[in-house]
Amino acid sequence: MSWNRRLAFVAFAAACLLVAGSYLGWALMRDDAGAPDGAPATRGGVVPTGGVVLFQQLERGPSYASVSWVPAEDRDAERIRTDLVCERVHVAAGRGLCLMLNTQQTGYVAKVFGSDLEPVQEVPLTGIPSRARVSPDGRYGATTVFLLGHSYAQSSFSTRTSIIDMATGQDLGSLDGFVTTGVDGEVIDAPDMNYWGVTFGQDSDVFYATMETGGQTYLIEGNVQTREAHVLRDNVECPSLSPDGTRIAYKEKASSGAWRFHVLELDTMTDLPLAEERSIDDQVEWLDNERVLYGVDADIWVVPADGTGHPQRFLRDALSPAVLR
Amino acid sequence: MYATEGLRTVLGSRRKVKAGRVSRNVVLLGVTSMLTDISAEMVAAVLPIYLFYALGLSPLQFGAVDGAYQGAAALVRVVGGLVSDRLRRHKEVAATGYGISALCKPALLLAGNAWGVIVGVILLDRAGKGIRTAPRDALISLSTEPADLGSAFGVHRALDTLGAMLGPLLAFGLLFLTPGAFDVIFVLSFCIALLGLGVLLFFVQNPAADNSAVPSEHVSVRSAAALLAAPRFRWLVVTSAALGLTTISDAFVYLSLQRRLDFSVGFVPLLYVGTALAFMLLAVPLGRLSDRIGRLPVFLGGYALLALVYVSLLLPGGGQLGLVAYLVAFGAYYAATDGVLMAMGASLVPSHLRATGLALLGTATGLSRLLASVVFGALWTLVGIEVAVMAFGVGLLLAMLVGGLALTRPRMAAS
Repeated sequence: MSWNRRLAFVAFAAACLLVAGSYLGWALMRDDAGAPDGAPATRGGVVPTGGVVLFQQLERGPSYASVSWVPAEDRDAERIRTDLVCERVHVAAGRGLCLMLNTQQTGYVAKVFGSDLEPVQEVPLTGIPSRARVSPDGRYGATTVFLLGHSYAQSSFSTRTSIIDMATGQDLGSLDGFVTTGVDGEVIDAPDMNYWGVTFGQDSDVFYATMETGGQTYLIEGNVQTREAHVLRDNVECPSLSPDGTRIAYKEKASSGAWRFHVLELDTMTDLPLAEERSIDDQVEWLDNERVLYGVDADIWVVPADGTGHPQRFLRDALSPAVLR
Repeated sequence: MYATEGLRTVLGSRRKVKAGRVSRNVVLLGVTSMLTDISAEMVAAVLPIYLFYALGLSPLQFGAVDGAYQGAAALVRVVGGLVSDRLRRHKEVAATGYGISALCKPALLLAGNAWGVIVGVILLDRAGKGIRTAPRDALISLSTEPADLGSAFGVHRALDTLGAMLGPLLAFGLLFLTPGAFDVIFVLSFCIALLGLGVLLFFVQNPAADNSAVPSEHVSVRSAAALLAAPRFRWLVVTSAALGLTTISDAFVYLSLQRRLDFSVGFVPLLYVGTALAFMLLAVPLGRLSDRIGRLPVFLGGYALLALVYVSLLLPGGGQLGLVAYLVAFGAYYAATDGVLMAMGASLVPSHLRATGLALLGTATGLSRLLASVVFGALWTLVGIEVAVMAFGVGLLLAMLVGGLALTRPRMAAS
């Protein structure tokens, strides 16, 4: 081992460390790069109890990705912006659920907030936010995340859906711990079972969700108290119960692989496709008993829930709508 | 043999050689692997959040990448082995692999949110890993006395695992200092990878070609296939593949543990850390033990520990103590099998085909494990977890028995 070689390595290593050190130093000095521009956003006071649509506002600027709202019947009105930044947001009965990065930005958390938008509880999430829903009475919340890393070979992705007690911020556990039975009453247990997209009934113990196993999706009806669920039918993703509790809007996968929004009548279990013909990956939100909202690219659209009419743009530069009735 | 004995005397007279006699080259390769693993794991730990939060890409998109590269990497590994044997430049081929992976770190940053480019860079990163693995293992074995191979691979694997544990810690530490500054992680990861490459390029030496040198034309796909004609090596590959076919992947072991002991899924990453810690601490002692009492007993003993893990997956109870015992047993299984397998392979493959032979052994084992995890998932779904674990347990014992008998058959090496 020649001394020249050692010296050369020391120089090389010093150069590497110098670059690393100065880059880190520069990063520490530059302005809070991660935070959204730091401009003081209006908190926007208290969220009204009804008649508004809350959403993640995506107009470029200091309040990018912050929670905002407009009156449901006057959506061109100026957006009331807040400084609550969420990846997914949902609100009902004065309680909200905001899925956001944790302070260190090393992972995600679900924050429970009241009508003053002040987070009161925090539940860590084990993956990347996908869906958030609050039950109509504000008692329960549900989160769906994509799990990170270490996925096993046969499943390209896996999800985790958990129920949260909105009053205490307690994690009531994942749907993986529920006993799920098939149409013939047999208990389904498979390592590739995934749950996502919860929607709650008026009796918030009752919920609907998607369960997937063996490459097939199913609509399940479950109960938070009994921790049981059963399959209602197949090929249903991201169900959303209408405010009157009679219908479920969902996305159905066609043989081509494209999604199509349908509405299922729960009494008769018959379904019809909606006029929206694009393939969209979202859990719809009912605007009222006649219309549904959903996100496409970075806009919220609206379409009648009975298969008639045409889709229309509802709000530009906005996603994750939540209707407060 | 005479020449290497002489070498040891020379080295021994020049400085005090510690028990276990692990050469400088091996330690340096271990340091390279450690730095490379720190670099790789710090990026891996934050990549999903980076892609989703900073770039707004859907998790569905990066789920698709995950499966794609696993098979590809296995094949690249054999090519890397063949090329480095043919050129007789293990160090340079390994450096190419390390270099490619190092360059992929800033490339990820520069790719912005161009999804196709990101997938390409991730694949390239995996290809780099595939290229470097076989020549690196060949370098370790060629820098080591046959009697000390177990210790050498043990030292290498311990350092490698240490890096894999430090990487995520460093990444999260950096995010703590500079929230949201993912670029810092990529840039520092690049610098650390360069350091690792530097250690390799400046200090690691290709072992002097032995004078019996076989002309490099003798290294070809055909000669690689001929390796498998040697009964002992063939049986080792077959045994390792058979054991791989009956190995339940970590993900499934942790998943069933999590369900049985009912702890939060958020703790699952800690299981990986616990296993890695046991692996790291036990790799050297078990490697050394394999040099002393024989590699096959330690290797099969490792799989016996795995069989014990299966049995306890079927038994009721557990709790905190049970969990710790699991992780120790699981880590010990890795420590007793991972490096020791390569030590066994190295002693059965002629030096001019060393990288190719070790690549074949590694690829056969890796691909059969991949297949096993698909089969296990299907079995779990069809017949339930208990039957699936039992089937894999019975298969594992059979593979141990047949492999053990075949590999201890007297005088097979002579044929």
